[in-house]
Amino acid sequence: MNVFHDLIAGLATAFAPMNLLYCLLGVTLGTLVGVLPGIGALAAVAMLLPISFHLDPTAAIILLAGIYYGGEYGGSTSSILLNLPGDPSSAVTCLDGNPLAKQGRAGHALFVAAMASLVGGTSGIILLILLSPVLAQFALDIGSPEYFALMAMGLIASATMSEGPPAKGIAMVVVGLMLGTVGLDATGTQRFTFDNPALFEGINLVALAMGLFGISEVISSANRGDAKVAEPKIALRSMLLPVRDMIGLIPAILRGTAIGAFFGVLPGTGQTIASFMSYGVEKRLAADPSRFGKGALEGVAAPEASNNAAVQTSFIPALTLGIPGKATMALLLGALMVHGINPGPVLMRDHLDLFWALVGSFWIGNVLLVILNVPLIGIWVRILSIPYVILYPVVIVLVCIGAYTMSNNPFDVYMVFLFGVIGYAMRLFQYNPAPLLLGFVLGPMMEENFRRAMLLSQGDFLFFFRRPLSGVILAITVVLLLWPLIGMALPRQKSRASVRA
Amino acid sequence: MLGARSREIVSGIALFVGSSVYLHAALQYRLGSATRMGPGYFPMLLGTLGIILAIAIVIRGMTMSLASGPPPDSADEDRLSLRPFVAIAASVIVFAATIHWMGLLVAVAASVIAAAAGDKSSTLKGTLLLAVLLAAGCWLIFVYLLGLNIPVLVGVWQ
Repeated sequence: MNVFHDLIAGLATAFAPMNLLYCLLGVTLGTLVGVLPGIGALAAVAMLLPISFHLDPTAAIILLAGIYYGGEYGGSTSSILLNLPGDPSSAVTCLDGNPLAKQGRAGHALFVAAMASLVGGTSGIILLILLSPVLAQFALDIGSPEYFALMAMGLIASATMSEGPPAKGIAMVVVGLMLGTVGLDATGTQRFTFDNPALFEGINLVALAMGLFGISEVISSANRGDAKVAEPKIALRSMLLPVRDMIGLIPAILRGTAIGAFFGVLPGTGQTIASFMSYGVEKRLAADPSRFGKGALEGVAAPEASNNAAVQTSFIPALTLGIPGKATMALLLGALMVHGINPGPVLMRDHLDLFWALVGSFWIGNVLLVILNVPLIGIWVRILSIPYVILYPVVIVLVCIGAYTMSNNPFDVYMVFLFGVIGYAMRLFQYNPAPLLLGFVLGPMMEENFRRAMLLSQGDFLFFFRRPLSGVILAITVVLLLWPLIGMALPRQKSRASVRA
Repeated sequence: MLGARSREIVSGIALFVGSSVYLHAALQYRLGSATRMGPGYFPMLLGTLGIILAIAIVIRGMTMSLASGPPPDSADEDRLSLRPFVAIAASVIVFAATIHWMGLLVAVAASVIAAAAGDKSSTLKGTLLLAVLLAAGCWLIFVYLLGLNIPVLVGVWQ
């Protein structure tokens, strides 16, 4: 009952007019900046960080947190409309969201994304409240072998998410991992950089993601000679989904939430792994997996719920243990420290009111996102009816700027084009770019954890199976890998039986 | 253009070549042992894996039925039209070439003009208008509002 009491008190604080205003401001800014290709929540948080120093700590963290999960939603919007992932975790939303937009159903996709995000976020908050200690302990128990196994599971799930044989998907993952090895490695060696300083820190993520997804899309559409993305239905009724369909999506949303809440506590790449995993799981469990990649609403609902749940639970290790999962979180924690509040057990002891106010504002923020964005769906959808001749130069310029501003290096912009061509070639040969992106993002951490695990085990590859947790995870991975083979065996028997009958 | 079978085989071969090159490059680095991995260890594993997968893809391609036509969704990509492709290429490359040495305004404008040149329905007036508006808009959002450090007009305004 004490928890309930604290929650009510927190909500009351969060509803205070000034805090409400900052929440709204944060969420709005986050969404707008998240829509811009390549510029994510990190830039927005960094920009407003100095301003937050002048606010009281509660308002400051509410504002910055709002930008964080608002940016998440903005990234989904550009994924659906233009096949431009705002964040690697939004790349999954491109897979079914963009085909939906092209079919004139962008409104449905955006609406589902908003609703799924709300449910995922709210559930994530509940889990945050109820399971903080458990999940915090879990975050501490994760060692290198476990983390490696989890990443392997995520990669295999994503490899088998695409059409066609798993070998092609795994090949994409491997290529992504290869690309991830470019640059400085843990031992201090420059790998595959050909003495080009631009590559010393690795290939530019924005260049890779935008090129593979966005520019390849531009090339493809230009080649087809389409005049515009889609002729969308503008009537409000056709933008919102019938209730029956929404209810049908509930299982997918719940599964996505569970996966997201679980992976969200993993440092760094948890959110990205979560969205890929939930997509893979949905595709596996679907009655008709071939719908995925062509506009299956579950393919939008599950990853979106997963994303938001992961964002919420990523605050658990950050606030309770003081361990920031990603750079954006580190900035948030830094803002707290500037105000003299140290995250970790001290926060939970001395500033419990701040914690609960923050939790309250999370919920308000998620609701505000929906209130803000559902009316905006009409505007977003209209963007699709802008003729390509205007829209695509804008997209190209935004992508180029996004890539350039990573390190103020024109080389990165050339890379955008290179990956655009590669992405287009991949389309022609029926290879899915999403697993490649995940492999690229996870590559360095995967190698690092593998290296540490090997160090611990003195070179024993079976070490991963000896430890119970990583053994279980890898077993699940193997099942995921073999699932298509199991699936192939069953229907054959069924159809033989029906032929005989 | 190419049937599904040929696409598998060609892509498999491309993957084989790429992985082999990568593996060769990886072996130039110190491998170390499993316990103390050197920079080349993980890449070596990846390159080997890539080669194995490439072979699997090629084999699968060869065992596909000879009669399979083009893959289902590829009807649109049958021939690469040159003009739009060159325009997009030019648009990105022109941006890359001018951003550092001439600044944002020039880069955006030039990029827009290059991109629009590839579309039959573009007009000179419309293109120039878009170029100016977009350049101004980008300055407003990225430099003024977001405070990013981009050269705006080299020599005049940093």
